[in-house]
Amino acid sequence: MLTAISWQDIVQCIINGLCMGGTYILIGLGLTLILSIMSILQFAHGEVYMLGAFTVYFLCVLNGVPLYLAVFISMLTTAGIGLILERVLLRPLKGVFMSYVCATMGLSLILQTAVVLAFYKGTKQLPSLWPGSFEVGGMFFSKERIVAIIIALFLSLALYLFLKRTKYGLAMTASAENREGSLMQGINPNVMSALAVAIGSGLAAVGGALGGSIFNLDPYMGGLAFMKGITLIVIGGLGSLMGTVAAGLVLGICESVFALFFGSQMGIIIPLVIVIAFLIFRPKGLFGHD
Amino acid sequence: MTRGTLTKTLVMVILLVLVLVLPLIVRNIYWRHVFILIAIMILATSSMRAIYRTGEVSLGASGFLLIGGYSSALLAIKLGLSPWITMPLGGLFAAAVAAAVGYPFFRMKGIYFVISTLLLAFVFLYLAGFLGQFTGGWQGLQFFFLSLDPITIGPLTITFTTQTNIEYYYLTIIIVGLCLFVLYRMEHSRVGLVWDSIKEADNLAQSVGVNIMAQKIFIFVVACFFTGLAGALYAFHVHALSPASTPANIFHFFTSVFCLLYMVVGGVDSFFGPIIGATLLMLISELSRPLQSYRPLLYGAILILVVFFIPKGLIAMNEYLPAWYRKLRGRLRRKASSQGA
Amino acid sequence: MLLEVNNLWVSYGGAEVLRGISCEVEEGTIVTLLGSNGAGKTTTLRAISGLKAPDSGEVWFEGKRIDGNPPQNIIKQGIGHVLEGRALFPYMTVLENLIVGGFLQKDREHVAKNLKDIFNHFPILKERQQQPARTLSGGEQQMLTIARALMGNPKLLLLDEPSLGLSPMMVREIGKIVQEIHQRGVSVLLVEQNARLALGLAKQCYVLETGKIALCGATKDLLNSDEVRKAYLGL
Repeated sequence: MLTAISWQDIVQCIINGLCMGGTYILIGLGLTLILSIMSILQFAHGEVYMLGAFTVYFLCVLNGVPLYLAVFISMLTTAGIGLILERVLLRPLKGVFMSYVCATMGLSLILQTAVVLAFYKGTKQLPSLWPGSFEVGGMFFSKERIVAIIIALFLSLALYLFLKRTKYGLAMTASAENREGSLMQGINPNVMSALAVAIGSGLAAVGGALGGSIFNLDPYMGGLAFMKGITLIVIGGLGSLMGTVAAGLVLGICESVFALFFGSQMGIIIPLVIVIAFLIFRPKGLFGHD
Repeated sequence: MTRGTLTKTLVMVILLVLVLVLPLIVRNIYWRHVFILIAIMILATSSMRAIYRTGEVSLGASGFLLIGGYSSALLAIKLGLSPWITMPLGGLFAAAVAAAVGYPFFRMKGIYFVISTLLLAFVFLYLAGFLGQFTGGWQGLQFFFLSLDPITIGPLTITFTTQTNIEYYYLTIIIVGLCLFVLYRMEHSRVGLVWDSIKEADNLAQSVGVNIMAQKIFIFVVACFFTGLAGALYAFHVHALSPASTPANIFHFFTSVFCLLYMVVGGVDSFFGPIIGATLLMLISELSRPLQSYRPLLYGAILILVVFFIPKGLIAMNEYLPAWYRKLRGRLRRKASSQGA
Repeated sequence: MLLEVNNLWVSYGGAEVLRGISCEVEEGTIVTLLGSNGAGKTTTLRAISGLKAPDSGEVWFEGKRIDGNPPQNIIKQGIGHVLEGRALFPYMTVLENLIVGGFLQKDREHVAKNLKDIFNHFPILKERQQQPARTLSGGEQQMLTIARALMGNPKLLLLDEPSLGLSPMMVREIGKIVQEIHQRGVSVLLVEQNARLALGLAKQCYVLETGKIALCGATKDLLNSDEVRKAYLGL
């Protein structure tokens, strides 16, 4: 296993890791937004990610819509679904722990089965974001992975600017930091929740599209995605955007490195164990505050 | 005895008799297998409920089932021990894991506890596949040759074969019955104590001298012991274990969600809720075999509907029905009067 | 009458906190609500701004009934509420806190003007505008939370124990600030444990005792009666 690992391999590995990290970030951001603002953990968020990917599949593969356009449309429709989800399911139930846990789990079962029935099981693939690779100094870089990293970082930056520079973004940050204080400035908590779920779902959809393009799609990809999201928010810290991004990149690279040296199974187990350790010893995560 | 208690006792006796004679009525080996599974799930769900009554929701059921199942099977296969010994050992392994994680887990706030149990279940599922040398790896473990040794009670020798499962049915019923009895007794002592004290502030309970944390962990350990035992029962019934991440696998985390479903549908406030929920839903699922692929969707829809309309579960139907009836009558009356006026 | 509270009953869980209290705030005045801990002062403010729905009774603001409405709607009517314990956004900067205070203002220029105004009145806040709110001292935080409420151009300001935990010097500062606010035309309902501070500012005074109004009247009159002063006001 340790034979002949070249620089090429290591660099590929890091790029791969950053790329996976990018998709994790897109899930994690939504999850942490919803958690900070609504104080609930959206158990069906992984399925929203999956839904975004399958929407792109439906548009692009089955109906010939150009890939990037399909991703954009999927982002919007999934955000819309998020709005409906918030209004119908999350808002009425968010006060009672058992209720929203059951309802979101139920939703996740429904979405998975619905997609299986609509598209039949089995893995599928989305077309490449940018086929081919380019060469720098004797090393080959997959173009699509670079594109994925750029998209993920771009969206993270966009979210950051939204939260820091726009009125509603600041209002959302405020709601997360002190709910009553925000109410006293006239901020409508329902609008904040709706925005959080919509934005989170839209980001997850793009994440799903990236994942589906670089790796593959299957109706059960949501469960693993959800686990990754949880890993990020626990390690990165609750309420911290930067923590989620940092944790995502680090997690992606770590998984990739572990997979390279120890096989892909370790790459999955080790982060889970680390998360449990964090939950026990440092539940606030690395950067968390709320 | 009051009339209420009399009816209740009568119902219980009838059900008990029904359960005991079931294999004689039901000739079909497949349906007996279904009932065995139902009993196993009742145990797992009731255990989950016991943990719920300490104020936390555990989604680790699938993981503890796995620990119980795999350890009892592996001990029997690798060390040649009799399954009669390894089954309780399987439960003990599960209990040991619960004891190890109990203290750190219970220190966490609600949602973190849920996440931790979920992750724990995942970790064990992956470990089962990963530790190939021990566990048979990703293909899983099959041990059709290994059954419970025959036991002799007086002149009667009972053998357990895979041909007929009548004996296994009775074994399962007896074991599950005993465990449920223990859980029931705990419900009215420790568990009830913990539950009531959560209603007040934790501080208050501590000043009364009750060490809440220790109680919670104890209940958790016992519940996980039973879950592990349920897993062992499963192992020696099906004679095959797998760490596959497919929904059909009992060790997949869907099972934890199903237990949650059975608990909520049956009624989370009553001891008999899980029993009702598990029996009803599993029977419905079996009876609708042709709609197999729709099952998770149905379950998901049921979960959502229950949580919206009958959050207290089916067992509280006797509260809901009159309330709905009154509401409906009130609405009709208002409509009539507005039309008349 | 700017604010009218009629026979308000509020309970938390099973416990009654307010038992039929009534009070009013005339436009352009400072009214104070005194009482010891647990008397129900904070609950009264929370019932007015909508954080707690009353069990029964009415709250009228500018002739419109506001009780039972969600807080964001009540704030929109022109009420500001400086919460007990300040409720700042700890990880946001002073500037960001103030900007969020101006959330309801339609006009960006309006917000900018308010900001300039605030910075003129509170030069310390201007100095510390890029610092996270949690790094400010107690007195500065109190200033910030009042300033934040002012960003919303309220007609009525509900102030919950602004002097809590502050040094005597800072308490005097707060007193000056409240007077300035009053001079700009904002009516104030001031809840305080520090009777001396409150009575120095307010025209009307209510004393709350275990959920009921034990005493009410013009500050002058109350201060003139030795009995009242000793028994209720501790002065």
